[in-house]
Amino acid sequence: MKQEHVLDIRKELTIVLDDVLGLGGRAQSFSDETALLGALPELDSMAVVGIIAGIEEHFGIYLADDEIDGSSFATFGSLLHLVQDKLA
Amino acid sequence: MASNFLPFFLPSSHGALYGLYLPHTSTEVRGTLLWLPPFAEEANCARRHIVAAARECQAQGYASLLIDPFGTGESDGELVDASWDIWRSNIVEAASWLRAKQPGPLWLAGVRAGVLLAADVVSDVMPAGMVCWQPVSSGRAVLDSFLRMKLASEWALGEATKAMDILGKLREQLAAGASVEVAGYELSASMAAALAARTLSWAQQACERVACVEFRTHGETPSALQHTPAMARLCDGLSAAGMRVASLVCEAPAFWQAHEAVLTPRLGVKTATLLKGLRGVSA
Repeated sequence: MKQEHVLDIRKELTIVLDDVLGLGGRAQSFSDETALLGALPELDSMAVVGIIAGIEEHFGIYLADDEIDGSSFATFGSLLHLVQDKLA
Repeated sequence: MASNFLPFFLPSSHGALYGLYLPHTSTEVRGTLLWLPPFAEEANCARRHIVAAARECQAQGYASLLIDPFGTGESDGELVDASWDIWRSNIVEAASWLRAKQPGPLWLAGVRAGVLLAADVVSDVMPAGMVCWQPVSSGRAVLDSFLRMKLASEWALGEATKAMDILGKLREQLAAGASVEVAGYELSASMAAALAARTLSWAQQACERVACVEFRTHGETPSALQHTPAMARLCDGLSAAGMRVASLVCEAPAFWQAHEAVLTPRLGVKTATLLKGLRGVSA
């Protein structure tokens, strides 16, 4: 059951990224190692803000100032980790 | 050939407001749309997409007025001197102008944070209904996103700045009553507080009809596109409050946060179709 829950968050996060960045489904093939900030041309500062807001809205959570960190946007895995921690 | 749009300055109690009027080009007049833009940089990004939709609405029998509120776009004033009440007044005055220019049912068409402003003037304007394009969840979320812009731009420069260092300082400034500057926008403490206090308190609004439009691009086929849970909740809440709700998901990029987003055709046509359904064919 736990594993299923984790997979679900992964899937939902790819939907947020596809929606916000207009990746047309590309996010669904992201692995934990896929680099985001600095590697994905779509990910400019407005898009970063859009992703944070998108995550909050999609998962019904609030990311406080001390929970947001640039390193969370390094890879898909680190971003997933942020959401999983928050929902744990 | 007559020009089918008119840029002009609308005299208001708070100086000249830049407006773009697009008359209907159909033999059948269905109504008017007063477009309320998103907040700050989102307004810049969304502008040409709104204009494109308004152009499509012309042929559907809807005239449009796009207005830059005080201190934004080409209008008089500086953003730092704007207040929520001035913006409300701008919209009420723009609605009067639009009604005089083109009679018929008037719809307040809010985009993102523009929906918050629209909801706040419903009892003054008494529109036929509201159009909500990708509504924000709350004013608090709008303010958070605005402040986070400063953080994200540091990250984009490769600075490993801690969020607390940037956001904490901005919030301290606002709490002390000082204005903050983010991405070239200077926001006063009072405007930030007013914005943060806004929610979509629909139940108290005398708005009978609401058309909600959501834009999504995820990789499934367009026919499988469904509302996000947040939008579905909003629509359910509106219906429960007794409003007639029509909603739609359009396959389109998040154009309000991308400067280069490709225009998606038919967003205006689809929106107009939604309104026709809400009004019934006779309206």
